[in-house]
Amino acid sequence: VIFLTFLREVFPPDDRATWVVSSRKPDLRVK
Amino acid sequence: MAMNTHAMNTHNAVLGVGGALGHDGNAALLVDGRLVASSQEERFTRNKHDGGFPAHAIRDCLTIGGLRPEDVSVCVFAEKPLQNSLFKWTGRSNSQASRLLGTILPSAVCGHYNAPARRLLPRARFLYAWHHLSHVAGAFHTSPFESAAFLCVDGKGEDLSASVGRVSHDTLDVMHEQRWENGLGLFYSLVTMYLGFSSFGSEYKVMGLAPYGEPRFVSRLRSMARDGGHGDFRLNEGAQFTDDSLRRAIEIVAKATGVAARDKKTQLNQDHIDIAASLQHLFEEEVQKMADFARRETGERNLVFCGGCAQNCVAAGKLRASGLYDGVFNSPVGGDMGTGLGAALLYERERSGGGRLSVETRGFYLGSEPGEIPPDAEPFRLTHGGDIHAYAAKALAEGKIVGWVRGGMELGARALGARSILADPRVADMQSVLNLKIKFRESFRPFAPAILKEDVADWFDTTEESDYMQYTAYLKPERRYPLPEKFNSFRERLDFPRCAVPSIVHVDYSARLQTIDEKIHPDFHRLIKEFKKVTGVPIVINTSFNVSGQPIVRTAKEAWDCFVNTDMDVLIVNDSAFRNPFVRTREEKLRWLKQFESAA
Repeated sequence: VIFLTFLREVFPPDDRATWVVSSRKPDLRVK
Repeated sequence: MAMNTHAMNTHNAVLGVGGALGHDGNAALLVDGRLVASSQEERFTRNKHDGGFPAHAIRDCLTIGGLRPEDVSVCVFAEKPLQNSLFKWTGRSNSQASRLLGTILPSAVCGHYNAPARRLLPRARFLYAWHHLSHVAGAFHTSPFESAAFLCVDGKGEDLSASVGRVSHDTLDVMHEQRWENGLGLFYSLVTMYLGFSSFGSEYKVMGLAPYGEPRFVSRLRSMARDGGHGDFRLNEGAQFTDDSLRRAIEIVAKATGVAARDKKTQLNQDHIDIAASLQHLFEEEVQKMADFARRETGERNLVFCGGCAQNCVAAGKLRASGLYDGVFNSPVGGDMGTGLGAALLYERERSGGGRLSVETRGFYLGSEPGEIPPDAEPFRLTHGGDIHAYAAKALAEGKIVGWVRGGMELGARALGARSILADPRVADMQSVLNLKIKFRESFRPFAPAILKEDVADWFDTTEESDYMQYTAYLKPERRYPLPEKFNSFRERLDFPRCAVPSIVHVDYSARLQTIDEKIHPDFHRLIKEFKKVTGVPIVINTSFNVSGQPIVRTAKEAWDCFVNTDMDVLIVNDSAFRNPFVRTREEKLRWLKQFESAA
């Protein structure tokens, strides 16, 4: 819980309403 | 369907599995890159949109392919469960932290499908595909294009609600994303629940209701969201993609519209109908803006439209008619029921290193045969003189309602002529009869026409294919009857005969076409050709073989069970015909129907 709270603090959810540039790849390995 | 026997270790068997995000569990099997089978779990468990681990669907695919579970070398899931969980917990999933966790955590902690999958598939290597890319691969590789822009819009796939990019046989570039779940798909579901259609997967009912209303609530609905003008639509106040969260958020819609939420048991009033029209109008505008954005960003002249929101065939039809793209392909399995197929194809394209995949979809009749006819049916067997198509066509022309079960069943939400209820579209009150006595569903919902491809231009304002009921088109003006100046009630408007085939056109003369191509649907084509011979009309009503809330029937036994509990007249199973004994009492029928009530 502490770790997840830390993640939320450090990486707050992006609240913008706009398309963002993607770096997503068709990577089948990462779960 | 022919059973194929593949000796162990001599063939490359790849299984795609979808549904781990909580609905529409499904499986698809590729053997040496060839599509062998695909099935949906709900057809076996009889629980609509079943999101449990699709063990039955997997076994069905393996049986069709003549394989054992241990013959499967690779199993590709159409979701990344860890990324999905991280997004749920932290609001982000594509961060470096989640990538790191995804790399180091073992499979065992990454999703509720893993343990049952390992028990069933002891030797398979497990891989995980991005949910949106599973949609894209499934749609693109069953499209006619060499390259295209893609637009994927759904409720939620890991951290995404929309993505655009470019896809060809050797490239797959995701260019832009909407990394939130409170977007267009969730908004449509939220308003659907607010309108009293409470279960997941009822959005198509709102789409069917919309033509009866005026879109006078659009600006009020828009006040609930902000957007950047390019289809990047996002709700102001949070709601998540779960039934509970959506229920809590219903008050937000009531506040914005000034109209109280409808209870599912109360009658629809004009405000509700106008809100449905407004939602559909807003949705179409946003999809058009997204498609325009994709066109500008990719420069492509063709578009693959996929994801759960692409099941909205009205929006897809308007997108195609807009001329924004030279070609638009709306995948018939663009929703989650096709993600297993997409995940398997995504693996196959990676494995082949950019080689062209040739996917033979066989009309999407990719499931198992109906099997044995139950002994209860034998006393009611009819003689038909050997030509089942001519026999069924004659029965239809006499106004009879025919259950039509032939060959391997279709993949996807729509019956395509393998598990269908058929009727004559010329009969004026057929829409009401089918809705109220056969399907037990809302009376406002029209039925889809299956029309011979060669005749479509004589009846509708299009010459383009809609092989799998993916698009709407409009009845040609010269085929329309004049309307009175005013209708006194919703009922009167609903029942007014608008043309020679009133049961298959909506009040705005739209129809969700299935064009029947002799090469793609040879069996169904033969039936409609016979019907045309008798009546001069190349169209039959085609609706799924089920009642409201029930998954489409799969086996002959399920078809018989549904048949005797409804007022259908004739049941055809492969080459056998049966009459309805009409022995069930009203109480027995109601008891039978009750089991599907929660999903209706």
